[in-house]
Amino acid sequence: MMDEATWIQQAQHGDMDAFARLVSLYQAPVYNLAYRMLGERMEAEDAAQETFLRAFRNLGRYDHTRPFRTWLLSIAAHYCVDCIRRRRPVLALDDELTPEGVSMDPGDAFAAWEARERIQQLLLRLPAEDRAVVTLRYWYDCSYEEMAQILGTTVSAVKSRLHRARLALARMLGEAGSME
Amino acid sequence: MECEESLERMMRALDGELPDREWRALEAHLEVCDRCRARWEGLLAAEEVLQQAPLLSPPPGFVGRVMAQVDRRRARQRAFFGGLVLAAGTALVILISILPILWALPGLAGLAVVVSHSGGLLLDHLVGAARLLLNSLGLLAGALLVQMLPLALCSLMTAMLLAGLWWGLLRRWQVVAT
Repeated sequence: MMDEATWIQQAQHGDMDAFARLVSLYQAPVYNLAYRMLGERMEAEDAAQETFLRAFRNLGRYDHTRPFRTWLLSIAAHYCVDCIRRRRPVLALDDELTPEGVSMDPGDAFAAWEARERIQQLLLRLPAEDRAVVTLRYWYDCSYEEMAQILGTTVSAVKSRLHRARLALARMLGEAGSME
Repeated sequence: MECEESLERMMRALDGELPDREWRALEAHLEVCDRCRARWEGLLAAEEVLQQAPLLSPPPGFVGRVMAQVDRRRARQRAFFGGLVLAAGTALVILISILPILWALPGLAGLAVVVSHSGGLLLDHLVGAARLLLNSLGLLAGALLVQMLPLALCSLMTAMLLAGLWWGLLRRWQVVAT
């Protein structure tokens, strides 16, 4: 029986099993956000791990009136934005074109992978905060209010970021299409 | 002006927040404006790709790895805190051990008087004084040992007992690795 609120309370009292259940429940959303923002699997896993470690350390400060997902994604988004800022300024697009350790038959499987990864390549060309907004909107169906909470900014700021990002992605897709 | 307004409407349409009336106005504009229509089609294409993108999962064993890290960090925190407690406790144990010795120190002051007295006699009568000095020192050493040995033994035993208790406590709290 799943009762997230109970697990959170138990984890706050030091119950490691309860915390492990929370990790299991949110591992995909946190990892996905990290991957979409950082673009590299190992880095994404490290970031996801660090997110949960920080969550554990700050469990005492979690406010029960806010959704746990919002709080957790907020930690993840902030950490990933910091990671991106600490990197070299330009991430070469070519770095992300090769499949990483994926062995698959050519043809359909590759085309499907390539289509999936294309959006990731485009995402990586956006600035860090815009990447966060797009990811939160399209992978997590976050409302503008939730996104503003997660990123610690205003609704209007989030809206303008998303609009700008949509236009940029549309333009990039159009450019990519014209090259094929 | 119309294009700017259309762009804003396009965004709201993508958010699913455009009322029918405004949607019809947008459609009307798209019919006559090539630039906006191209833009709208581009946005729709991007929207489709974004909607289809899957939610990725981490590699298997992720939860285990996270929990291992959590345990490691907790152990490190405990070790740090334990280290502080260990240092403070050790200092206390040492202090308690040497207190009896410090308390017996006044006895040693007598030794200084005897030595200076013997020293004065030495100047007058060299050989006899030397013998006298040796006798005095022998007596004093005996007296001191009689007085101090029990005290020294006591404080040593106390120190060992306290150290043993302390070590046991720290092991109990799992601060010190077995």
